[in-house]
Amino acid sequence: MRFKSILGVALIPMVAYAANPVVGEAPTAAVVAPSVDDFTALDAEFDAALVEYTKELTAADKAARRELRANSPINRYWPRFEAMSKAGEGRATLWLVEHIKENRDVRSKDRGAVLTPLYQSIIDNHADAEWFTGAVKSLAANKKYVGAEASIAMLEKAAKTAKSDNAKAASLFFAASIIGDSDPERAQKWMDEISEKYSNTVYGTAARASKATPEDSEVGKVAPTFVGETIDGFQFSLEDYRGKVVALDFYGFW
Amino acid sequence: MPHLKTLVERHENDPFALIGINTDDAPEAYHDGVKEFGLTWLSAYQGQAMTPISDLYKVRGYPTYLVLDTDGTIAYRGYDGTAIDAVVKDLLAKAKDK
Repeated sequence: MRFKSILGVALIPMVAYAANPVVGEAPTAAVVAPSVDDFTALDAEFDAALVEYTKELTAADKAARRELRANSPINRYWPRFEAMSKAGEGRATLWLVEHIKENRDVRSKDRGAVLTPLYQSIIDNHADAEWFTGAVKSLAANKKYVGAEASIAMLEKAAKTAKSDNAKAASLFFAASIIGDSDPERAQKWMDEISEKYSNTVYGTAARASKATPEDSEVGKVAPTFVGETIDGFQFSLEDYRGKVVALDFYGFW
Repeated sequence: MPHLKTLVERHENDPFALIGINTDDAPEAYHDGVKEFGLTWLSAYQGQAMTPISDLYKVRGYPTYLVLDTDGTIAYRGYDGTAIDAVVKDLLAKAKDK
């Protein structure tokens, strides 16, 4: 039942964005900080351009492809997201860090220098945003450009400034994974903190998983509780299903 | 998958839930799979970077099935998708008698 309702929530806005991008109705406050609608509209415009670009690329011959690639939607839209980011729209900043690898104007060796201030700005100004966990994940994924030490320092800060338990737990979890074997004591301290304070998050599940044994989940034992997340970001706990007979299916489509 | 769909439909009005835990699919492959198999039940998506639930349950092969009683006790663990039908049926009958 709950699953059906999330599907509804996930699908309806997507259709609405595509059919009816909201433009030009921003309140006057938008002069200072762009409104929610400005980002949503730009992002929808970019997505549509990307679909069109992919189609053209498939149809094009070798020479035409080269020309298309030199003028891809990422490069064309980058300055617009950048301007919005500078005006204080954190989701535009997140867009930049998530798309940097596809931007052919930023060379691989320069990525760190571009990324670091962007992540810093997100951590300093948007730690209470509902998308903040996504920014933390993105930082962990870009650690090789930002550098291990700088990534860990920023994640430690994020763990303090983040508002939600999930984002705090994510920050500690990725800091611990990056530091890993180079300082196992510190990594363990963070993992323990997740288990103690944020056990009811996806990362709480991950922290407990690192200590699990096969005997914990054999027939006759009480199934270890976990927090799962759907692809749409809906979180649920196995605890929600006590009182029901539950079948778990660990699967992949591969 | 078609078999699981039947199982879910059969117990639509019973205190039963099937929870899928997807491991290692890229987002596109996941979306395609959901569409192709008409997957309607709750499914956790672990992605490719980390697999906390599979790790917690020390899952070694796929698909792995577990059936839990109403109090969370593990009644079945194994690889046989059709074997879970009878286990679910028994546990539901037991739950009714309680």
